[in-house]
Amino acid sequence: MTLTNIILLSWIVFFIGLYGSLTKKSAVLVVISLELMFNAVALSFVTFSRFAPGGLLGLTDVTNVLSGQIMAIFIIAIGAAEAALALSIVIAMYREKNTIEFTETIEIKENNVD
Amino acid sequence: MLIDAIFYLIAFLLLVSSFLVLFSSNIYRSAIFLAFSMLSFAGLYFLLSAEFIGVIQILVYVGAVSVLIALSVMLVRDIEKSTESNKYKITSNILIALIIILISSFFINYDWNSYSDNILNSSNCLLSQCANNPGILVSSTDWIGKLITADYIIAFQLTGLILLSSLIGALALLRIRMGGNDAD
Repeated sequence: MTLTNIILLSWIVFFIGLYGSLTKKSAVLVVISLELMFNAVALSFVTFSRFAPGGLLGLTDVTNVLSGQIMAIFIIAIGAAEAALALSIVIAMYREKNTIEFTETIEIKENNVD
Repeated sequence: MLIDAIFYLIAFLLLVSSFLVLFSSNIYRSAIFLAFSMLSFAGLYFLLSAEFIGVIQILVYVGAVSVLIALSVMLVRDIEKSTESNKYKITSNILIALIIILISSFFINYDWNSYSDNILNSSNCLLSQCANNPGILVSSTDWIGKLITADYIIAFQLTGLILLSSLIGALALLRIRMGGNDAD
């Protein structure tokens, strides 16, 4: 368990999430992929705070050591808020268009404009 | 060595479950595998001796967000076609390949040794063993509490404001549509 291993792991999960959020059709899968990306970034924050120079060596510079974990708390809070808001948008979209697929709604909107 | 074995096991679980989130044929299974990958993230946080983040991760993601997603999966009409790709697949593949090349060039060229030299007992220190070593920070939770109410108090208050505004926004989105339907 070294720094590069965990950073590589979070990097791979981030790109899985990026691929899903760009290529999937269903809005729920896009929200799921966004959650994966959020968590990959939070994992890299916690990892850098764990392996920071002077990290876990003493209590004198505890602000430098723990700022990554505090950023991870903020990321988790904002990720939860984002999930609630995005899923309410999904429900509103379902009421409006009767579907939750992104490409289909875009096509319907283009037809309405024409 | 035990820590390494647990790390590779959790990393394998995380990679497999996050691949299966995107490439399983059923969107219900995607939601379940999302919960599995969030549990793997929590295990990694425990391994990184960030216990508070791990518990928060289990509470928020495995407990709350997975339930939200499982509820919204019920809106999917066509389960068999729900995991299809959209029509921008080729463009976004090219975009992702460019970003991967960019970041991997950073990853290869960066001087990681400035970090690795400073790790003490990173691979052979279980939590019980660390407790006997007075130089190592074992419990980070009380320090997180102290820091979050002292140095990060503005960000903490703003996070509460963001949560409140997202709650109001979600309710307003649903109420506006219901009012519109009543007017129709």
